[in-house]
Amino acid sequence: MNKNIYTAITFLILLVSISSCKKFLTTTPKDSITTENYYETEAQLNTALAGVYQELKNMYAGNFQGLMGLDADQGFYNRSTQLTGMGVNIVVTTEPKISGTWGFLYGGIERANLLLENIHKADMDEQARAVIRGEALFLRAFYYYMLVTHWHDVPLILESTKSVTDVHKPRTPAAQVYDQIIRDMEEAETLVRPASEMTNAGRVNKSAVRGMLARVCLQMAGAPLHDESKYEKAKFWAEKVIDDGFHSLNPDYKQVFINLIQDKYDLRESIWEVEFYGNGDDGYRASGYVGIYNGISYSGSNTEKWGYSYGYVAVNPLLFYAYDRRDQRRDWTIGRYTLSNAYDPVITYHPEYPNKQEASSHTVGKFRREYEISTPKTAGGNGTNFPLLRYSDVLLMFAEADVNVSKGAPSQKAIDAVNTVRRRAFGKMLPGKELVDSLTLVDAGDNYPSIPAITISGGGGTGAKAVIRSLTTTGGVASMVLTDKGSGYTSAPTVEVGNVWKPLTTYQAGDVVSYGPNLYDVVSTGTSTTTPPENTSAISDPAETGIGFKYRSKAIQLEAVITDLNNLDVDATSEQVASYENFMKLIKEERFRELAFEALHKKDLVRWGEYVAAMKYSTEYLQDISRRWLGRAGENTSARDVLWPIPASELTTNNLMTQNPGW
Amino acid sequence: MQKMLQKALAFPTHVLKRSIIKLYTLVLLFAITQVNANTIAQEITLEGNNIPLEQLIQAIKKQTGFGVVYSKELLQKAKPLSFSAHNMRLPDFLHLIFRDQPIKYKIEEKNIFLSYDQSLARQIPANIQPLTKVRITVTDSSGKALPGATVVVQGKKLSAAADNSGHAYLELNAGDVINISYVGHQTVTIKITSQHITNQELKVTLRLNLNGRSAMEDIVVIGYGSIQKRDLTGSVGQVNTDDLEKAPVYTIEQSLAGRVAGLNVSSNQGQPGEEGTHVTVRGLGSITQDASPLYVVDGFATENFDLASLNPEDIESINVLKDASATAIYGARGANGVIVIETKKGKPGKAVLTYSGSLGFQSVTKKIDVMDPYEFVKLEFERDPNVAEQIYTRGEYTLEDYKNVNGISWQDQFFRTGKTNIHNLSLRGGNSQTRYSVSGSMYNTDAIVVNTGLKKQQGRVSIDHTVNSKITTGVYVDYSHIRSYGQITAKIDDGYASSALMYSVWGYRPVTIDFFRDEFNQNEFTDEIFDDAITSTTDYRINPVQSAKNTYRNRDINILRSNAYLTYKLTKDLTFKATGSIYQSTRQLGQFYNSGTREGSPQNTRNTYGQWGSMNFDKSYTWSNENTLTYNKKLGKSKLTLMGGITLQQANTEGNSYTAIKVPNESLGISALGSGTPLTVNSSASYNTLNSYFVRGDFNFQSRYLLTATFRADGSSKFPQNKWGYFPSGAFAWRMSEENFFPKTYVIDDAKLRISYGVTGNNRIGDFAALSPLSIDNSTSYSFGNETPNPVAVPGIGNPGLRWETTAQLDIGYDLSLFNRRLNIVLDYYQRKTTDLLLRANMPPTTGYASAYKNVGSLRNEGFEFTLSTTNVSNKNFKWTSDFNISFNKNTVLELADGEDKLLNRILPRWQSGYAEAILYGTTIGQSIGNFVGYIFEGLYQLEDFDKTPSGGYVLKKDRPTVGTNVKPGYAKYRDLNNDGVIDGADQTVIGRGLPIHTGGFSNNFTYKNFSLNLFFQWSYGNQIYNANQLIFQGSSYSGLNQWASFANRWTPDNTGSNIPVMGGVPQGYYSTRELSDGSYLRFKTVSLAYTLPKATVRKTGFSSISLMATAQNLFTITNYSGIDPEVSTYHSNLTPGFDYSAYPTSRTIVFGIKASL
Repeated sequence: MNKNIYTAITFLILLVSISSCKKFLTTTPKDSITTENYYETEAQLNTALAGVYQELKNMYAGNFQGLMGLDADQGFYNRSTQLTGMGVNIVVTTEPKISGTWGFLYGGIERANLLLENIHKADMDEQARAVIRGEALFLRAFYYYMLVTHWHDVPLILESTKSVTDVHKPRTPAAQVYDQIIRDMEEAETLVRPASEMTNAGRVNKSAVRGMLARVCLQMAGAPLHDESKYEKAKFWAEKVIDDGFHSLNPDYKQVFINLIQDKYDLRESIWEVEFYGNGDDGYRASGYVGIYNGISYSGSNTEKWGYSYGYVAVNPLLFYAYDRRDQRRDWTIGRYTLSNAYDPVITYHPEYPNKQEASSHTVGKFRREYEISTPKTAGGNGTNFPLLRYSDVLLMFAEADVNVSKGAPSQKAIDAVNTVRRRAFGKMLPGKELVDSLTLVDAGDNYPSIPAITISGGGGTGAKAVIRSLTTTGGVASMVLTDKGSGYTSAPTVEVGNVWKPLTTYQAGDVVSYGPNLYDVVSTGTSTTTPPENTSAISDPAETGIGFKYRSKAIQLEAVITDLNNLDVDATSEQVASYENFMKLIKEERFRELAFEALHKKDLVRWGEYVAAMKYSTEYLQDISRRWLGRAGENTSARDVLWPIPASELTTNNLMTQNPGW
Repeated sequence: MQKMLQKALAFPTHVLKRSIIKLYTLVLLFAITQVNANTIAQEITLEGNNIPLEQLIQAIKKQTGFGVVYSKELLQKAKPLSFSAHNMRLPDFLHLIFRDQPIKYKIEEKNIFLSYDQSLARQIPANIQPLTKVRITVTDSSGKALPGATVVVQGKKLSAAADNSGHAYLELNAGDVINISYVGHQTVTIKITSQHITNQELKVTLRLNLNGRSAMEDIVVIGYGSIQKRDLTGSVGQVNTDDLEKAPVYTIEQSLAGRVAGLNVSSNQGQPGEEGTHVTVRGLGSITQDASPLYVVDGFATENFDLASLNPEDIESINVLKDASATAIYGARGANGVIVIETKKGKPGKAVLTYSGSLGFQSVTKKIDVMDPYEFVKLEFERDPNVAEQIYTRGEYTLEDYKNVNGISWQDQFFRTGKTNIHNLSLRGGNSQTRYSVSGSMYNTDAIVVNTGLKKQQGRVSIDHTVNSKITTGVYVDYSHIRSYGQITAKIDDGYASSALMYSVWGYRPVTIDFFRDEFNQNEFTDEIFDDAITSTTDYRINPVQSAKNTYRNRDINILRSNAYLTYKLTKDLTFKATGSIYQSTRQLGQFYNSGTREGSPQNTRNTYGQWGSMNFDKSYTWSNENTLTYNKKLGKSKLTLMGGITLQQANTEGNSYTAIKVPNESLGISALGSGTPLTVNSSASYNTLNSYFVRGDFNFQSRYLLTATFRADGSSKFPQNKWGYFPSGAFAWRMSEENFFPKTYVIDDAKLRISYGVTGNNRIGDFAALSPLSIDNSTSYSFGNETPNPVAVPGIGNPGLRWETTAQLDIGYDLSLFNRRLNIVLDYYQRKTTDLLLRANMPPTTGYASAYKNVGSLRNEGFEFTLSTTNVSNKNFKWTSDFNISFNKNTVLELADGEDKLLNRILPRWQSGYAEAILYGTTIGQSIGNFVGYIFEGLYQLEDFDKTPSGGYVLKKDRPTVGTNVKPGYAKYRDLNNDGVIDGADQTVIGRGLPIHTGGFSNNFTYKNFSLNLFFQWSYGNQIYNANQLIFQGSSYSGLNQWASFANRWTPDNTGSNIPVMGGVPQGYYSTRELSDGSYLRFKTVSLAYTLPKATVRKTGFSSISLMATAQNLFTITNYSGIDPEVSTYHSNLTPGFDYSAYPTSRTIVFGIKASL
């Protein structure tokens, strides 16, 4: 027995000494680093800062492009079968788009907090550190601004999460959150670089901060906070951007968006953008869906040219009618044609003067994939950047703030700001302001075998295009549309419809040729002489006309009417600037037109206290058309929809969280 | 700089220590592999009475070919002998015949040396007491003589073997104690009384062991040792491996269900190699983490063991340790039960070469009929008459014409008759020093879906060697390669139900208008990979047969496992054992999408990758070293066993993968990935370590009171601040049948009450869950200024305070053996409570993180198990035995992460966008995990629910609850639980169970002469299954999509009795009881008929035995389930069980085989 014990003890000591090496149970990760040993170099700080930015991509890439109701009554989810979900304003607290956005925002805040806490660790140039600090502070404030506008009182968290158990955070009153936003943004304003020194609009610059400060202040001044003292501040910050002198509007409205689509920066107008990259066929996952979700629907295979689009967003006819016919923003913001899903899609234009039913079939055209440079343009993603702040917005914010400070008739500077936006909208900043304004149908014609093409030429200008949409049952023009007004016309250009007779030209038997008011069938193949056919019955004499032209029917005759924008007065009328109310009405309309589908409209309506009414009106407005289901979102709107519900994922895990009213 | 220097200096010592431990393991392995087998035992068959030694020696020479060296003198000193030996090993035979002779023997090379031993002569008792020759008659319980039974006198070197009449003669005194034993029977110990001496007669009846199995199986292998079954204090279930072996499967996972009470085994689907089998012991022990048991194979413990790496034929025994007493020795990792597997080792004796092989067929167990061309086209007209006219009639034909068209049956083309062939070859043998086993196996199956299947090759060597009386050593090496190939039928692109393969199998249209063309060849349609009539942008439909054929998807798994041990008998009672093990598994997944697949087709507008492919490698490498000391002491009639040990283990994982797109030459397939454009490259590496100390004491007081106490301390690197967990357990068993007061009747053979309580642990979380990682990865990047994106830093959150999850379990069991052990009952009640649950807990998103590991929540599993084994009939020609088991488990969530009262879950990945947000599962405090949540289906809206408008439309009556605004007659109606007139989220409720109420198995073995028949049934009762296929194939309105044949009986104004909604009549996003189906089933899992050729016939062939067999697996299943098979759970997680969408159907396998031994 004793022997056993001694032997056992000896062995045990031996074994324990082999195995009890303390380090054995201490392990270190092999394939990742930890937050404790990061933020030690300038490069690491920049990578961390990019992490703060990256949540912008997460938010704006897809769902914000028309699926979350941010367009309010401007556009609707374009699927008749959708009965539930955010697209039709039936929102549940487990809605992933809401909990996703909430998570992205607080994720960005956590990333910013970590960066701000550790920013001192790196050994680097203080100037550069200050810029990083400024951008991080601004982004955190921007994320809080997004939170407070969509959820109102939200937990204000300014330190990184240290423990997985100390996680219950109460809601902070919105006013307090706003105060922090202003504080952070104002500090950031002193730290970040001026726009004029930047090479891209992805990084935050001084103008972006100032413009956003104006936006935040306007929001505070409006509903639900009604802190009207903030109009002064809003004016101050917007004015600062204007007075900076660097910024100006791009003369061509549509070029602003083509630049975004083609990844060209125009910091004078487009001050801050969410950056997207690639077309989803790389491993970066940095691409977005701007124009893929909210574009002109196309699912054909020619992704080299046209680009896939789901066409998720249908445009409210109200928006179409809100534009003047000559307002160049209209036909860019609204896609006025549909594409068939063939390789070479058939383009079907909507009528020149659509009725409500017809106007309800438009989809968003602001981000046309056709203009993308990178191919293929598949559903997998694209690199089209999304605008977060444009100079025209700053101008309109200035006007709004300014007139609200005085609450009287607007100042000349405010009027000028609005006029600047309007003048650009009507192309008054462009060279060649003379354009084809409309086409007059002299004769609708008759008995055309198929839809003839329209050619507009001469008149000193270029670019005008028109198409006949459809023929009547007797083969005359039923509907046509001027698809491009062109520019630089000094006199009315010639409008030719179909195949127009030309001297000394070879025609094939069976061709249909027009001359003047008459339409002819070519009887046999041959060459024309210099004598045109003019017979209004039977066949022309081949001896005279070279070949026989058999009278067919009346030809379509069109005439172009041109306008000179130099002579067009698009400025605010004296009535519009006559009073505070009138001017505010103009500003609201102008924002509606200028900033459509830029994820701003719902916020505008909310701060003006008009959201629920506008949504309800949209339903009523769409009642009498067959696509009345577009009004579903409005039908389901109630007072609670001004805010989003606190997501269930937060409510069930945060003991101190409460739900928004009505949810 | 200083930091770097420190790191650099720290590195060598750090590595060195670990290296020493590794080296130690390797040396041990190497040393042991050097041992080889030298002699092969000879066998002797001889019997007779009073045989002179000389005659005996001649017989030995003749039978073994050995020379015998002896002296003449020896012949005079030896006594004649009576005995009977059948195929007895030579050493055993010599031992038997010379045990009461003054003769020493020695075997050297091929010679036997016999010598006279004076010392032994002296020990032969002088006639101090007069010895009486007693006739001992040994019979079995039926009274049949047992020739060859051995009778040994304790303490004397006296023994005898029973002759043909079952008689053995021994000279005995009163007070002598004799042991009577016979193979397959229980050993009986009898004290000779004066009565016996007087009568010169003793009759002994030996009872059969349980079910007549060999005595071997009465030894139960438990953690770090083995124990006699009757001395067990814990709850241990044993699998009848003979039965298990009969199933024609490549892994025992597929035949383990229903074999042991408390062991639940279920598969997600039927695809070979991709079954996704879940094994749980006594219920789900975790909410978000892996709840599978710990596997201990030949002493080596591993959590993520792949059962497929074992050949079912190589398995000697499987024991399931269920209660805390049994599992506590694995403390740290025993919380979810332990499955102890021993493989077959060599046995002393003649080498036995065995081949078994089988060939067979597989077929799908069930197809679901789809609508014929007429019904299909009729439906198309119902959906959109204008479009249907364009596609199907074009003014040339009518709907009626389609009655005469034979459509394409896609199911017939998609499913095929699979082929299975299995080959096993083994050589096992050895002598008293060395025992060896070499075996190899192959399994090939071309499964029931075109271009899917599995191939497995596996080989194994085991050698055990007794170096001397103190040292024994052995090594086992096992290698396997498993390749499964073909498209996963349930694979889905996030949000698109149409991307799953069965969608196209059932839904692809059976007919086109071209079928009317005289010269039409069906191949024109069946060879096209897309149906050009599909214009929907969200329909991913593809020709299922072409898609399956063109898919390249190979998963290769290579597993190398090697164990070695050395035992050293330090003293008579004290044994030291060291083991070293390595387990290495490599998984490789190669996928290539050529232009004939949806992913790679240029016709797919979403395809931006061209023809592309990817390769994934995952490697895991685990080594461990265990050292134990065992002390065994007999204290009179009692016995004490103490065992203590130390283990070290390190588990390493590595992975890397790459994807390349736009591969220029697709015909080269995956081999040419290098010529494509690299898309992503990923890599990962991690490891964890575990160090444990444990002790166990077993005290057996006269086999009446049995006590077991266990204590284990585990240190895990996963919990940096709380490394050590301490896990005690205790068990007590009372064999009341041994008590004097217990009635000694013929009826009760054994009765034992067991009680155990103990604590076990679990550490199954990520290796570094305690740390806050910062991931910097290309896939999360941001581009500034349109430059190539740079990866950004994404922080994660760790929980440094993580600690061991603990499970406390109480078990009360009762074992009863009746009627001569022909009826055996085991009853167990248990309660397992798991606390400090390691939970991937949801975090408030305001923290910036979605979830983090926490020790929160608590869970209870409570249950009852009943096992019954009976020998119903047993006589010379016919024998019938049955095994029955049933287990009930009730799972209750007691607590979730702080503040949460329920977890609501969706199916992930999102199987269909319209259901992306819909909740289907709820796990609520007070209820079990994974209950179904949804709406209660209340039939269909009928005409009388509507007011008719003047224009002929229908407007729902005001008092009827509505689903959305678009309700029409024939639409599905749900119960308005809150009576607010609108069916919305508030009307969802718990509608079904995800977990079964009870499961079990019933096995019957019949042997009649040379025939044997095994029938095995297995069932699961009480859970529901959500048949999501029904949402798509019974009422969806997708264009050109065929429906199940049952849809022809849909609601119409003329068929209002139907409960099948009209097309489009099921609103998207509503899960209801309509699609929820009873998932209970009773499966006729295995039937096997074998015929063993008569010995006489076999002898001529040179074989020692040959048998022929026919076996069927999954022959039929009795169930009410509406889908193909109720054993299904696609997109499975603990929280989302029993969802069925596009699962690979189960197959029925029938094989014919032969087994021959040489």
